[in-house]
Amino acid sequence: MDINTILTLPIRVFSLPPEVLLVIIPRKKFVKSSAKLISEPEITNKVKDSVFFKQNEDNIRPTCLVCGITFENVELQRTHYKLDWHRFNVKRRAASLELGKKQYIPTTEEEFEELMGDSISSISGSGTDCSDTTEDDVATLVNELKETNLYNDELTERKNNNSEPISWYICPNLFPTSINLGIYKNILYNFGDNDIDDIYKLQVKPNEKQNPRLWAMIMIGGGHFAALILDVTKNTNVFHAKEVKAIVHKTFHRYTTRRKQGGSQTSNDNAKGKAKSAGADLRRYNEAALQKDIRALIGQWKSMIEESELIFVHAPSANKNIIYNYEESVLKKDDKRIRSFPFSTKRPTFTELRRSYIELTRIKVLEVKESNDDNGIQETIKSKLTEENLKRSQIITETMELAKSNESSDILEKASNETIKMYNLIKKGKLDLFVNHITKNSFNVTDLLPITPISENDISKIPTLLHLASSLGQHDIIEYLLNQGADPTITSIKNLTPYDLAKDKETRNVFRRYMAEHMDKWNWINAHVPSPLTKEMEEEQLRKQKEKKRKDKERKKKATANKKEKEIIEVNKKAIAESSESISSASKKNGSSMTGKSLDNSSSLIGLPAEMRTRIERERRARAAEARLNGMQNRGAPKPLTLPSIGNVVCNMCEKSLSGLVPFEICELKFCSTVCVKNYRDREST
Amino acid sequence: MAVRAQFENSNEIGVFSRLTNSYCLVAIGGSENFYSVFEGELGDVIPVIHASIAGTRIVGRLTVGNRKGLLVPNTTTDQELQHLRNSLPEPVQIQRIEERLSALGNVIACNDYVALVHPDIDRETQEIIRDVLGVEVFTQTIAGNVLVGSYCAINNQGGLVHPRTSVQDQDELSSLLQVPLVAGTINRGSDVIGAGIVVNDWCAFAGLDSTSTEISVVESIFKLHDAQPTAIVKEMRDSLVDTYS
Repeated sequence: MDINTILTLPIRVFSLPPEVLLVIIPRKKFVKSSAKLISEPEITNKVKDSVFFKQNEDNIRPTCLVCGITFENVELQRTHYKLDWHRFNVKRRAASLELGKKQYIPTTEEEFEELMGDSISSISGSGTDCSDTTEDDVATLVNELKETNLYNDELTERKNNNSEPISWYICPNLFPTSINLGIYKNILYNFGDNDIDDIYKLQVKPNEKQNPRLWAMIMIGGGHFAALILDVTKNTNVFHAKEVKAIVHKTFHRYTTRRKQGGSQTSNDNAKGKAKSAGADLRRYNEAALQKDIRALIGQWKSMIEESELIFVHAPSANKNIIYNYEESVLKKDDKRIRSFPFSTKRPTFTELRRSYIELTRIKVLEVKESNDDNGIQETIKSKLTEENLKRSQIITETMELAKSNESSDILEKASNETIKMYNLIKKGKLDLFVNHITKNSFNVTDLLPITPISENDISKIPTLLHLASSLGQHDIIEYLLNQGADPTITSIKNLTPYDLAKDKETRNVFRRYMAEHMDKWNWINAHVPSPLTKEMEEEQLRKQKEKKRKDKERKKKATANKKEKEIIEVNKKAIAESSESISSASKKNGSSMTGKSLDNSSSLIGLPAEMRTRIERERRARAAEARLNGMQNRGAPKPLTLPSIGNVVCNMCEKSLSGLVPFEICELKFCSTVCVKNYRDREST
Repeated sequence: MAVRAQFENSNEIGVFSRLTNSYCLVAIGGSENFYSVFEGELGDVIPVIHASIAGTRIVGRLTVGNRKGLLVPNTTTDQELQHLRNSLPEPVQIQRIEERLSALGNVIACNDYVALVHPDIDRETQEIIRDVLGVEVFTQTIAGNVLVGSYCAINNQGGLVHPRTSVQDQDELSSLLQVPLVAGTINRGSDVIGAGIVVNDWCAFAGLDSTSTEISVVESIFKLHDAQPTAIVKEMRDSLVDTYS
């Protein structure tokens, strides 16, 4: 078969073409034999050996075994012992001994400086404050290394000194060596040890009738559960998730996660104590129910699971307890058949399980350009199967894309690491570290950002550092970048400049301020910055704002004062009305002796302060009440009033109210004015 | 002269005493036996002081010192500090230090000129060690152990280190300390040298379990055969002169 025909079609791990199967070998072996790549530890061991050798030769020379170096004289040795580098190595050695490792490779001075990175400058800056920071730096560095070492150890145990999830193979003589085939280690029975045999074992012979070979796949997460068991002999040549046929499958969903807060109810209960809400009870119940359902299901499938060749399980954190470690549990944690999914999976669904199956069993094809250097092998990637191929098979391009991120060249990786670091620094807004980082890596701020795994998604949105800083609203970094000559007119795919992405007004002002200072440097219209912001303008604005504030305050003050006054007037009115009423009622009983006086009073009140007024009014009311009481007592028993109540208060002639007037009286009839009296007389006489 | 002693049935006398060229601290014990051993050997030359640190008797592990000074951990009470101040000879500086690793005797090993320290010790503490004890400070481990004070005993003439110390390490250490070193044990095979033996320039006290071989190694490496306190004044260690003249 022709190379291209093989590569155009997606290859399944169960049906490798026989010619491929014959010649396939792991890439690493090939690389080693051809290029004789010396691994890092070997080199350093050699260095170390030479140190010992020299020492044996010339016993007088002082050494530092921890750092693996010799000195010309004791003075040099003594000064060396005071360096941070030495301290770092001493700590590292102690740490590695603690972990029970025999071999220990000293860090060279260059490596140490690289590790210390940004903080190196702060050491040379001296000062007592700085010494503290270096102290911490060394300690944290050692701790970090410890952790990574631990992590590496675990991986070493499991994955034979190679942390990649995919092991790569080449087929010399059949394909050019630049074509690599990738197979997930997790589907090989021994995780990549003895791998060629395992690949043979995976093959399904098309013509023979075979016993069913079962794979079980289980995913649990966030209250969702999905599981299936399939027969791989019946699913050897499927390329789409929909074509995968499962023998049995089942999905459950229960409401167990805390909406908008995340995490499961049990983990929250464990962390913060039992929550008492109805929702919490519901979730707790659902968790228990889900666990019961899952265990029952696994119990039902017991015979099939036990026959399965491989069991893929994705059950992060607390979900592990659901399927392992209970009485009569079917799955055991130390079962060799149990594998994880070596890629990220989405919500557990039947479709996702099938997609995962396809992903697991498809062979990745990767073309790697190799250029032999003195140092070893440098790989640069260009996805280069012929265009025809790309057209004919969408799937291959997909796989290559995927492989690209896995297997990137050293240079690209390094660059992307640096960019990622830069990203993080900008995110945290650490200007000085950021500046350090840029100067150290001589990164040109005017350049577009390189494509990195992280930025791949938003590279269209954020083409430059300035865009990034602007969208995060890091003022001083924007200012720094602009001063370094970063171009604010570069637009993203959506034609957005950094100014358009600005997070808030203050960020926009940074651009406007810079524009005011450097009017001619850029075409500011293209940068979408509307107008400059000079110092005077800012001051003016500030002044205006202050003015406005002041006015606002005044207006408010006035409004409250007005309101108060109104209230007082209201109260006064009420009081006056009341008092006049009481007065009139008193005068009704007592005659009009007091009326004149009280009238005078009320008219004289207007000029007095509010407090006085209320007091006087209260007094007046009290007096009126007293007078009423007196009148009652004088008369003894209350007497029914003989006069019509209205006649008493209104003028008998014109019916005008007499309150506040001295009435004219004729035969107990009251009149408001002499005119009324005259009219009355005229009427009587007629 | 090397003498065997025991503190209340314990052979780890380095835990309960601190011996230097100008003073000796011993723990306050139930009986005066332990104290008398020291008093008998040293009494007429240097003061032997009953002491406690932070209310405990493990004075040897909590303190470190040499001819010029004494460092005590921050757990030391004011009263104890005052008592030490009153009892120590005038020229000896005493300093209480704020250090996370409070068992100073375990993390620092020193003679009158050089100190080896634990790699985790603070910068500031290192400076204090340098100033108060008048020594050069080196970060080092002994046979991979960070507790340098526990696994070695040094004086101005020599040193005894952990039995598993490699020859290269010994060479390096001795070039650093400028004294000959030997790897050995104390207390019938115990590798915790610092706890088994206290030593100054003319006298050593080892645990009662120590074999005569061990004692003879101690005497030879620390050059105690015919050492007399007076020999120091006569012969060497010019720096000592200001103290005793």
